[in-house]
Amino acid sequence: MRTFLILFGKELRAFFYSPVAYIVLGLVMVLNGFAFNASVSFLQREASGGSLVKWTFDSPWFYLTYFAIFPLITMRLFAEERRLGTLETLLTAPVSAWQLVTSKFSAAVIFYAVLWLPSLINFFVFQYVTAGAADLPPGALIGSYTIVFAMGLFNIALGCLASSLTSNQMIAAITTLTFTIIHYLLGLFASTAKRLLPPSSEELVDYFSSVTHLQTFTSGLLDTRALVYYASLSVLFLVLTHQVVEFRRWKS
Amino acid sequence: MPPSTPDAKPIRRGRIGTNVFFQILLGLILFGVINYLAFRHHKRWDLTQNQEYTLSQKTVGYLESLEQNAKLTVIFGNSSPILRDVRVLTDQYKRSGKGKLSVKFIDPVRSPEAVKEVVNQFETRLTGNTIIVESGDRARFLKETDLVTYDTNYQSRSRVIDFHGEDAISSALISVTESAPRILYYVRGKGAPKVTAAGSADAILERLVRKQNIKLKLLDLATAGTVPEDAAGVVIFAPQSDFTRTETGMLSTYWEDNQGSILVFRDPFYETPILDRFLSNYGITPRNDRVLSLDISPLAQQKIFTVQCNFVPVEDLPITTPLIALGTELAGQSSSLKIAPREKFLKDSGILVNPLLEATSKFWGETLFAQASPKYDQGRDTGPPVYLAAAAERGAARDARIRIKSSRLVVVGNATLLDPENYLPNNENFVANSINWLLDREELIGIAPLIKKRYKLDITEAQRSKIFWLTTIILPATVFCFGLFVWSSRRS
Repeated sequence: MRTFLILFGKELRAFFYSPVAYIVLGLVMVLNGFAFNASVSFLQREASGGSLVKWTFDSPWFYLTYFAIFPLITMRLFAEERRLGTLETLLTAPVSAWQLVTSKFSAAVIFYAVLWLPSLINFFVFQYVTAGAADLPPGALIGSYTIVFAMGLFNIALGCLASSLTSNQMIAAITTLTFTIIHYLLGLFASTAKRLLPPSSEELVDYFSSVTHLQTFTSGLLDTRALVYYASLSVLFLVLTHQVVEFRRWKS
Repeated sequence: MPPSTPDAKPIRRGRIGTNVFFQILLGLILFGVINYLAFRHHKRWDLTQNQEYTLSQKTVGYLESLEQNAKLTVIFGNSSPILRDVRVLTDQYKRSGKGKLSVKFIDPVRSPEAVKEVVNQFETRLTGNTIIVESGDRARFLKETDLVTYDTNYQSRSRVIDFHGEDAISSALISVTESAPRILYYVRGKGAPKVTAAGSADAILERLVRKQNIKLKLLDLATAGTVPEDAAGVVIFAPQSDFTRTETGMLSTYWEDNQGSILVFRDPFYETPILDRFLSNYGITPRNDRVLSLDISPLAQQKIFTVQCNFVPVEDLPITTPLIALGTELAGQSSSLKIAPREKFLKDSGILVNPLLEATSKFWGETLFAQASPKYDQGRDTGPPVYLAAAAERGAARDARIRIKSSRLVVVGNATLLDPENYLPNNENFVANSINWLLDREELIGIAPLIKKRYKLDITEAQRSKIFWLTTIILPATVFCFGLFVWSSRRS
């Protein structure tokens, strides 16, 4: 555990001592700001069954942030260590591959969570400026942040795997971006093409569709299916990353 | 000569490779099994304020009491804007029906044959998206417009403004699982009901009972001579003129001899001494007062007639049970009710009297209510507890497991409960529960589904601009500056 904490602290420091982290955080805040203001404009124009929280997270601006975050967070995790040659050194130390993978993953998850905190502040800024003009349903807030966190776990694990496969950060970033978009599009296409599938498969399609997950959770519903799906996918990708790191140890 | 060292163990890459292969395979299998189980056995929590994605207590209670099988056939195209809502809703019906209710979806584009089969089965023609609610040989057809209200004037396209699918489906289910609709007689000839731009209380009452498979029929006691035999109940709504002794005699015969059910909304503006005496015979006496409180400010005193009240919990009387934690308000003016549960004549007649609504402690029953600044007088006025609604029952079985027909009466000292201008969901729930209790349909007592909340922001352009600058420019710029500071301090 001590080794894990040391590695975790090192990774976390690497995130927050780097100016890149603040650039990423600032960019995410700008994009979230646009998403937030777009939903404010929409609800100013017309009444809707969805709250300000729902429209902020279930909007095209949200997906722009969503797709941009993961390559930026995960691309350097393993690829940089490989490029600098420090990964091999680390692997000769009494550090298990699991400790290495989980420490990097956990640090990335913490940084990811920090990236979303300012979006929560936006809602309070709104309430402060307008003296509480918006009805912010707590259920939608809890649901939205829960699903954003769960989807983040999966995508960070995916990014860890992509980063562990190459020494080039750009390739790692592009791989992560591609697979994040593919996963999203698969769900979107399946949801759209439901009428071509047998009726019994519709529930199955919803099980994999991140669009459906987001719609469900931002409405204020918590569903164990999506949570188990993302948690199990994260574990699966971490297992694969572990195998890739272990492979480096025994191949030479 | 250096000492000889044992040879290093060779790395068995083949064995490791096989091991890794099986680990990955095991991981994939576990992933599949976990997701299969999660797909089959899942749980959903509705965190919305109004429990918008959960069936109302009333519907759940009814589905749990279903004695015969029922089926929902949903014939909806994928382009319907409410398909998702319908899916979520019917899924909940299926779950709460616990095997007694099945749901079948048919997409008319993909399965025209299945639609044709349904058309042949019911010998009818379907126009647009429809839900068929059937049980035994009875069926009801709900069109999409029965489930939803559209705003057709919005930018030349239809926009959903209210989804009330639960109301429509539950109502249809009741009508197909029960026998012919019960008849509730509405006593007429006692003054014209108040009609405003928002509608009338009569119309709301009519809609309320229709949803529960009850038919509202007008009854003129003066010409009818007696309460009809098919009456499941009688409603006396805000009478503006008094009853005759013959009329109250008919009501007494109906209540006492036929185990009748009577619901009375009394408007305190109008004096009805003969009706009041009829009610007193059963332990509920309307007082000639107004329930009010005083709003005292440094400059003036104001009489408050809108009464805040609580539902009174009563054992073995389910009308108020689902509403106890909620409370409500009665608009307009109300008179208090004197109830005397321990009177000898009531005990002798086997009549049980219980309060249903009680004003909060700051209200009292004022007899000199016309005065500008009335004061509570202990000898003259009615102090807490001040009751505004009460129920009387004769012939109730002591054992809750035994259900025998009894005479039932509910009296409310206010006539605005269903007033569209003062509409409150809890008041409608109270009236619906009272009717269902009077008609001996305890399984339908509960809280009706609430209307789905709609959100709109009403802010000024200045506020809007301030929000944009703060969230999109100033806060991110602060973070950029902090990053610059971290970078420069680490460089130095």
